Amino acid sequence: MLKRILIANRGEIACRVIRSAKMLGMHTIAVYSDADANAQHVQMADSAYHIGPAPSKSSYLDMDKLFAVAEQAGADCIHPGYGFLSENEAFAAQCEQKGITFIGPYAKSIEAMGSKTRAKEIMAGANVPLVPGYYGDNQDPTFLSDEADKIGYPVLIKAAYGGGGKGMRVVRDKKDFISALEGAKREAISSFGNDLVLIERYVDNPRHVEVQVFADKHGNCVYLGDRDCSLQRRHQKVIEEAPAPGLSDAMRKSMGEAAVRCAQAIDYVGAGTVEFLLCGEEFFFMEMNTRLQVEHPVTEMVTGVDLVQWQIAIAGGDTLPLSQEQVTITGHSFEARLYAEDPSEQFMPSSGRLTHLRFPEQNANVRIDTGVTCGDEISSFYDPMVAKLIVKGDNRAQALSLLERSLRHTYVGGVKANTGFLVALCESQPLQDATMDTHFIDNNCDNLTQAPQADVHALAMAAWVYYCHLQGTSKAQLQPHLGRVYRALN
Amino acid sequence: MLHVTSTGIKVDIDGQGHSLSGEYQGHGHYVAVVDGQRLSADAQIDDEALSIMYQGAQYDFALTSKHYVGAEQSGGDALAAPMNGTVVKHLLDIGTEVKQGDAIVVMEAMKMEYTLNAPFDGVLSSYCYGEGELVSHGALLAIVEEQS
Repeated sequence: MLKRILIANRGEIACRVIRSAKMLGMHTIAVYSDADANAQHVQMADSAYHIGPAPSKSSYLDMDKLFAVAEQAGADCIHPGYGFLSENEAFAAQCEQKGITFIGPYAKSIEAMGSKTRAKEIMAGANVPLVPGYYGDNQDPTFLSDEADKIGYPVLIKAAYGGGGKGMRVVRDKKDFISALEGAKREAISSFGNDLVLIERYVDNPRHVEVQVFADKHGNCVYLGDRDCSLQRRHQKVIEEAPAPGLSDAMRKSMGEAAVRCAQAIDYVGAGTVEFLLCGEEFFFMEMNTRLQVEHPVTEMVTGVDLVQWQIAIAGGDTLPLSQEQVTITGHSFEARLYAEDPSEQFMPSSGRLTHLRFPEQNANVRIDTGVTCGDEISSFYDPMVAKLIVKGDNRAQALSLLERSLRHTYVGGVKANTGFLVALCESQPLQDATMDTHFIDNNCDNLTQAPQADVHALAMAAWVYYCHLQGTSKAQLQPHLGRVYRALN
Repeated sequence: MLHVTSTGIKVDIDGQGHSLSGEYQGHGHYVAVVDGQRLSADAQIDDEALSIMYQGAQYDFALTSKHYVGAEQSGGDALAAPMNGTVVKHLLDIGTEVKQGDAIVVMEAMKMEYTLNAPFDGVLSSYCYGEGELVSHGALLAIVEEQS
C-alpha cells in the first residue's frame, strides 16, 4: 500500500489530490516555486519543499529537483496532476527506474499516444473508428478525387505540413474538388514549401464527447460514462457536462467499449480519457489523454467515484473496485472553469492579488475546486484558473439552472474574471437546448462577451455601497459628498 | 442622485425615486433593501472606484473626487457647482421650506453669476460652503431634505 505521496503540481489539482490522499491516510508532500510559497496546496500538505524560481521549467518541470525531494521526503509515489509532467514519458520512465510509483500509466502507454500518427495506427488496429481520410503519398488529382468520393462529402483538404488554416479547403461538392485541390496545393507550397495534402471527412457541427476509462494492472478495464466538452474557446474547454446529452444507450455503449479497446490496445493503467468527435450518429477517435482531466469532477458527481482515490489504489496494485455492470450514472453534472481573464479584451489573462473572492455555499450538489483564497496572488507564471464550479442535479435542466445560480453567487475582485461570460453561456439557447457544437463560442463571441448594463437594482446597490462607504469614512462629511454618487451611477 | 432625509435614503435613477436602506455585513458583503426588496451583493470600494459584484456580473464606477458632478449633468436643478468658482451668497436661512426651483445659493465663476435652485420640494438643511469659499466643479453647495 502506498503511504507517502508527492504531488508534482500546484493550484487546484494539487489541493484536490491532497484531499483524497489524506482521506486514504497518506502523508502528503507538496512542492512549490518562489511564487507559491504561501499557496493553498503548500498549506494543506503535511510537508512542503521549495523547488526553485517561479518559471515552471526551473521548478514544476524540473525532474531532478522533484526526484531529489522525493528521496529526501521518502515519497513512495508521485501524482503528476494534469499539465506539467503528467504526460511526459521520460518522467514516468524515470519513476519506474527509481522504484517510485508513478500514479498514471506506464511510460510506454504515454509514448504510444504521444504521436498522433502512431496513435491512429494503433486505434485502427484496435477497431476504434477514425475520421475517414486519405493520408498517403499518392497526390494524383484523379486518385485524390476518387478517395474523396470514398470518404464522402463534405471533405477537408489539408496541407500535411500546414497549420493556421493555410492550405486548407472545405469541399462540399465533387464538382469543386479539383479547383479546391489546386488552390490548397498552391497555398501549401508558398506557405510551407511542400504541397503534400491529406483528405479527411469534414465534420460540420462537431461535438466533443469523451469517455472516462479506468484500467488496473490485472487486465481489468471499465468506462465511467462520458462527458460532453463541446463548449470550447480556441480548443480550450469552458463548460463541461456529464453525461453527454442526447446519446442513445446503444451509442453510449459502443463509444464506451471503443474507449476500453483503445486503453487495452496500449496496456493502459489508471485513469485515462478517450476523446471522440461526434458527428450525428457517428463518432471518430481524436486522441487519448493519458492523465486525469481537468473536468474529471463531473464524472465523479454522476458516478459517485473518487477518481483520485481510484488512481492511488490502482497504482498501488489494487484491482478495480467496480465491474462494468456495477458502474452507475445518476443525475447530471456541469463544470464551469472560472478564469482570471478579461472577456472584453480577447480573454487576456489577468494577474494580480485576489482582493475579493466569494463562492456559493458548497453542499452535496455544489462543489468548488480551487487552489486560491482571498488575498492570494494570481501569478502570470501559471494557468490563470481561479476555480472550477461543479454542480449536480437530478436532470440536465436542474443542473444547468444550479450552475447559473452558483455563478451568479461567485464574486472575484482584484483581477478580471470570466464570470459574466460563463453566465451568458448558461443562458444561451444552444446550451439550454443541448445543441452546442465546438464552434459555438468562437462564432458567437461578441454576443457572449457583451458587458452587462447595470439595471436599477445594480445601480441602487451601488448607491447603497457608496453611502455605507461614506458613513464609514471618518474624514469625509457625508452630505457634501453626495454629489459624487450621481457620477458614480452614470 | 442620493437624498438623505430624516426618514431614510432615497435614490433617483433615470428620474424614478427608490427608497434605500440596508446594512453592511462585513467582508465586502452588502445587503440593500430597495423599495422593500432585499438584495445582496459583494462590493469593493475605495476613494477612487466602486465595483459591485451582483448576480454574476461586475459593474465598475469611477469615484474621482476631482470631478464632482455639475448641474448640467444632473438635469440643471441640482445644487452642485457647475464649474470651479466662488460661493457668492446664501439666499435663504437654514430650515426654510423650499419649493422645487426656488433659488438657494449664488456662485460666481468666470466673471458670471450662477443661481442654484432647489431640486425638489423640501427643507434647506445646510450649506456646504461658506460665502466667499472656493468650490470645485461638481461640489454640492447646499442640502435640501425631502419631507415625507
